[in-house]
Amino acid sequence: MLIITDATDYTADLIVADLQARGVGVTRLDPGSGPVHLAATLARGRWRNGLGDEHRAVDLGEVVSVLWRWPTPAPGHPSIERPARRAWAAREDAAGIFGVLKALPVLWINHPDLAAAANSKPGQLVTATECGLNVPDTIVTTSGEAVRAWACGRDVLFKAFHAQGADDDAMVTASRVDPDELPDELGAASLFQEIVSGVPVRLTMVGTQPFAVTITGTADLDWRPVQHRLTFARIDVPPDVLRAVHRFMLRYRLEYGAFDFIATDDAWTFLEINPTGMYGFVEIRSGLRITAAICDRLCEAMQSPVSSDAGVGR
Amino acid sequence: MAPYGLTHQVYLDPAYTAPIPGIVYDPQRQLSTVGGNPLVEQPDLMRQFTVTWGTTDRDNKTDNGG
Repeated sequence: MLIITDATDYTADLIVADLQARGVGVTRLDPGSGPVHLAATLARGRWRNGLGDEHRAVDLGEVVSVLWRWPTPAPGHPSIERPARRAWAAREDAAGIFGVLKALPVLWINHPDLAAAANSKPGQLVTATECGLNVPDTIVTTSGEAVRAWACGRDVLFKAFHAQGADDDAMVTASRVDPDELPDELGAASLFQEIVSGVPVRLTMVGTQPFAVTITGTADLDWRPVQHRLTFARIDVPPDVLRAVHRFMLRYRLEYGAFDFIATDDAWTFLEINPTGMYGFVEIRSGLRITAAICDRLCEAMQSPVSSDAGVGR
Repeated sequence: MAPYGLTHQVYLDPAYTAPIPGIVYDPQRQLSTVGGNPLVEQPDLMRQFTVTWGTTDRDNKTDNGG
């Protein structure tokens, strides 16, 4: 069993510890964090033999499942001094090392190419609608005037496509906005949505298993910067919503997803999914056994190996 | 000119973004440790440092090609 993530992914520690407690062989690698050793050969239609770092190696032919979380992007060999040459090497590493990994015909949680496809917010909203989920009215525009014309007096919010800010340790929050105060030129494609009233819900899906909590404790639209104030409570997912989420997961061929909803007694509204989103904070505060579910799924592959056509991106 | 979206940039609480004092990744155990003990066995620290942020170091690293 292979886990591809960096050393600061503390949530992954939960998974590693669980697998170790089960007596399951697990190899945790971060190919972009330092020199790796790769000697993969193509035999019988599959990449085999060694990938490793200075501490451990794995025989790619023996891997039955991969948990892909937050690997460090390939930086290029540290001994290459000239930036352009190192950048070239980094691109070759990304194509070669990650390319070999991504071609493994195994169970993926999640395959990075599938996660990348699912990570598009505009695409998510279309897919969510097609799968039967409610979504907020949304505009993506470079024009403040277009937002004013679309908003028509409604309460609206701005949400960044990538919450990473321009500065370290900064994030761009989802925020209520007054369209009348927007500049005519927004300087970048910007997403605005009608604000939907209700309780925020984080639904973590592992395969077909739902793990849902309400998030209370703040009146802020974006609860992420104020997590020390939050309370998490388990909530059941309405059957129609769960069926729609299952369809969504199948559409993107995902094994895992962190969904955000706004819930009322009458309806749940889909906001977004993060196919590689964190879940440790939900498990620790709610007691929901998400780690165990992920490990169960990874271990299922040992009993029922995935067929060779499961690999993507080849 | 600054893109409008960055007017909503906030700086995160250092309690969540600063490195955990004394944390060391143990490559043999494949786990992080604090004071020689696995982080996963220290619930208070896990509670503090397994939050979700919208940063490339926390939630969206795969956005940059990893």
